[in-house]
This record gives sequence, structure tokens and C-alpha cells, in this order.
Amino acid sequence: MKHFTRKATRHTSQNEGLIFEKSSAGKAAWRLPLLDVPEVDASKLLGDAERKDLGNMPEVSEIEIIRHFTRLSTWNYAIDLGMYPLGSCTMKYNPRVNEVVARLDGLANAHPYQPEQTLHPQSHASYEPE
Amino acid sequence: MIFEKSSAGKAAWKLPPLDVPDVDTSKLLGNSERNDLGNMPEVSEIEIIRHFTRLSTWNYAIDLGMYPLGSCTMKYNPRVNEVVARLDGLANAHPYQPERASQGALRIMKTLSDCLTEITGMDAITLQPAAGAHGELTGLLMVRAYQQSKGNPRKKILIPDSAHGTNPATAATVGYAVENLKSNAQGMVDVAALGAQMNEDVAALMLTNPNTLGVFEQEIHKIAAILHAKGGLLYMDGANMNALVGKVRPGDFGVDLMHLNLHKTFSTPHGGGGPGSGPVAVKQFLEPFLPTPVVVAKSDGTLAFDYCRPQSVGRVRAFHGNFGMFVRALAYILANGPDGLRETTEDAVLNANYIRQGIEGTYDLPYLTPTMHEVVFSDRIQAKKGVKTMDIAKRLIDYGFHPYTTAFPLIVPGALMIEPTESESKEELDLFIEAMKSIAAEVEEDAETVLSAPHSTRVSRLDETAAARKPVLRWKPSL
Repeated sequence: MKHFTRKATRHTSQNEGLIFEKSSAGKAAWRLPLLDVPEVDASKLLGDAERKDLGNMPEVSEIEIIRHFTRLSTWNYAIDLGMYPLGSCTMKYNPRVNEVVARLDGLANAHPYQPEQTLHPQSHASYEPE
Repeated sequence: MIFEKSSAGKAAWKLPPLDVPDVDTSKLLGNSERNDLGNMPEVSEIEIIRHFTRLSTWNYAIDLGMYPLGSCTMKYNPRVNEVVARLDGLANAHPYQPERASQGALRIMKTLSDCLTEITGMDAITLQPAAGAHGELTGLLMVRAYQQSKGNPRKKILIPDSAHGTNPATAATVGYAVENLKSNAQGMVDVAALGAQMNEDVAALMLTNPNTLGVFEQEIHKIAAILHAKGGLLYMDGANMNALVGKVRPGDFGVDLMHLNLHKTFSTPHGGGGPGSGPVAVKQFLEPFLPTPVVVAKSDGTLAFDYCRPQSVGRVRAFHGNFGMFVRALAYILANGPDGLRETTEDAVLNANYIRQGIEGTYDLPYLTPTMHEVVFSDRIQAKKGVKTMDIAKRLIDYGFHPYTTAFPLIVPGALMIEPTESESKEELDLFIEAMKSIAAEVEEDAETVLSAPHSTRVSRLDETAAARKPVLRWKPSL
């Protein structure tokens, strides 16, 4: 083969439609335990703001969601798969340690409306070696 | 190979300057000090990430589509199991923690044990075995210990001709002779033949129910009675429990001991995502023989390991078994609840019968007996054109499916063994039926396409004989 490449080759790739096209009325990816608190009358509480249906949302099972996005992820090209020489964009590697730190509970679940004194951790001090 | 990317001196890490006193390792470790890494790949972080990310896109997995591998119960591994198993206190627990610091982990083992004995209708359980065949081995060691305690370990184990190959292998490993039990025309144990073969040399019968054809052994109570009348035990291979959970309990139809496959029935990862877990549940009279230790409740309500078990067959696994799988299996059981587990069983049986209905006639169905969670066809129709079950399985890859189980059970020549599990939607089942019909049409019109499949993959037909006879199990720089 004249233009033989060492980097890529053919591969089974599954077709994938839109997740809305997989929707089946009434299918749910969740199942709740029995209500163990007093029931609330949503229409009384919310009045006109109560929403009676989900609108146009895809109704699919958990495995259908997982497969949809996992299949799509294999269609992608990303910095984690190879060089991304997009001039002017500086497509550098995103170090995994950044992601570990950003997922720490206290940071990932912080809320912008938290009072200021809870946003100024003693942590500021604790980050500095004693 | 990641080794082929290695460049001497390249490192994926960088440490801050040392802020504690330096230690002289050669003084501390003497001869044990290691001066080099040996043959380790030296690569950067992005090279590691790309290597494994690229490899992950080569894979087929349950997260990509249906995995109809009969007898393997390749069901979806719910994400909630993984969330729970990653909780700090569980993920970082150590088996050498003192018992008082391990009460949560012990409670998980105890609660899972209680759930599994309730589901199987048994009285006691060990969670130690690491997989199904290891569970079989543990079970038969207990059979031998029990029979020995009655004065005679006995000589042989009866095994139906439809059994998993691990059954006779297990029996032989435990020092028993194996005697084959023929199936009848319905694909079930021939009860009259069993009556004739049963005698006081038989330590136990190993039976899979439903069997590997997906057929429920309707005369199981008679089978149990024949065994028990002459002092034999009924061992059930629980590989096919996905057809029974919440519906019938083996303990109620005469089973004395059985193993479960948490990585099949109870949704823990399977295959490359393992490890497995094969608990063995027993009736009360076998409890003294369980592997040591077992979890017990103390008078103050706390839990502990009991090591003082003089009749035990001993420990069968380091520490306490594959604990991470216990967490996942318990999460699955609790998330489903009794009604959810029952519905799961119904859906698994419904899905298998939907496929049976969908391709019956297109493919030959050797046993017409009603089936449960899986169905076994044969390649009899396609073989007339020279196309065998393995060729059809390879062609299925081009249609975006993992192959079904080929050439098993052995009582069906050219078997296509299909188990969709409850995880599949009607849409995916329809795609599978369409693919199977399309392949059957190809066999008629253009058999060569099927015989030379797969066509869309990186590699096509591999030399499976050489792979089995001369396996290359590790990479060496010289190769």
C-alpha cells in the first residue's frame, strides 16, 4: 500500500442515532423506593408553575444511556488519543491531577451562595507547609 | 506495546524537593536494595493515557452493545454499584484492620450473606471463593469432608452430559471419579437412568438448573429424593440462577449446596472487568464444613470472624474473598428489592424467548422443550452450505454484536448458545434478530462472505489452534 500508515487502521464502529430516537414512552432509567415521608400536593404548592409532563425528553433505560454516550465517545478524536496540532489553540494535554483535585468533595460540591466564611477555608493555611 | 514506546530516562512524574531527612536506602535495605526498575516502560503521562485510551476503543463491551454469550449472563453492570464500591471507607479498607474498625465491612458481608441465603433458600454461606469453578471446588471439598465424617468419602460424582466442563474438572481435582449421566429426549436428566446409576459409591450429583439448554429440570424433586435415599448430596451449579431469582429457591427443591456467580446473576463486572466471586450456600448440616473464617454476630451485637471451626475444609482464599464484589452485589440486590429481582428474572426469560421466537425456523432448534433465560440453536441448516456455528459467530461481529457461545453444550452438535439477559431493550433484540436472519440469508446467497468474516475488524481470523497449543503469554524484548 502506497500510503500505509502506522498510526490508524480500520475498525468496527457501531452506528448511533440521536438519543431522542431511542425514546420509548414510559421507559425509565430509575426506580425509587417507596415514599417514606408525607406526600406533598405539588399543584397546591406550585400553582401554575407545576409541570405536568417532562416535555420532549428521551425516555430510555440506563444501559441505553451508557451505550449511547460510550459509542459516541469512540467516534471522537481527542487529545487523549493523539496529537491535536490546531494552530493558535494550544491543544495541550490536560493533566489528570487537575481532574483529581477538581473532584474533591468540598470543591466539586461548593455552592456560590454558600456564606463567605465557609468559602474561606482554614484550608488556605493548611495548604502552606508549617 | 507500551514497552515499545519506552525511552530511557523518560518519566511521568516529578517530585517536589525533599523536605525530610534523606535516607540511605542501601544501608537500610542492604542486598534487597533495587538499583534499577528492571524492564519497565519509561513513558510520559500523555503516552500512558493515550496508550490505554486507544486500546479501550478497540474493545467490545457490554457498555457498547449486546453480549449474548450463553451461560455467561453478561448483564449490565449498574453504575450505582461502582459509586458505592468507590466510597472511601470501602475502597480503602484493609483486610488487616482490627475487627472493631471493620464493622461496616463485616456488616456488608453479613447482610449480603443473609440476602443470598434467603434468595437460594439455604441456611449458611461462604463468600470466599473467587469465581464459579472455585465455588465448585469449595463445594466438593465440603461434600468430601461431609461424606468422610459419615465414615466414607465415597468414590464418584455423577454429572449430566449437558454440564459445564468445569464440573468434571472440579470432581477430578477433589479426587473423585466422574460418571456421565445421559440426557433424555427433552434435554433433561433421565430420572430412570439416574435411579439405576445411583448407589453408595456416589458422593454427589452436580446439576445445573436450569441446565445448559436453558431447560428447567422439572423432576428435580425426584432427582433429589433418589440421591438422598442413598446418602448422596445434590450439588447445584448456580451459573443459571438468573432464571430463578425471586421465583423458586434451590433450597426448597432439594439442593444441599450450591455456588452462585456474583459476576453473572448479581451484576458485578465480568471478564476483563472482573474479578469474579463464587459464594457457596449450604444447608445447615453442612455448615460445620464451611471454609474458615465465617462472620458471626457477638452477644453485644458487633460482628467478628470465627476461626475456631474444627471441621472446616480450611481457608480457600486469601483474606475474605473479593470484597469489592460483595459491595457491588449487595448494592444490586438492595437497589432492585425483592420485586425488582423478580422482574429481572421475568425479563431475562422473556428476552430469551423473544429471540427464540424470532429466529426459530431460520436456525434449527434441536430441543423443542420450553426454555428459560437462554436458548440453544444448532447450525444444522447452515452446515449444508458448509457454514458452521463459528463462522456465523464471526460474521455477527460485522453486525456490531459480540458473538454468542459456540459449540457448547456438547450434546448439541454445532451449538449456537444465546443468552441476552434482562438488560437488553426490545430495540437491541430486534437488531440482533435482524442480524441473525441477514446472516442466514447470506449463507444461502453468498456463503463466502460469512466464511471469511469478520471483515470490518483490525484483525480477522486468528490461528486459534496455535493460540491454544502454543500460547504466547508474555511479551519479551527479543520477540
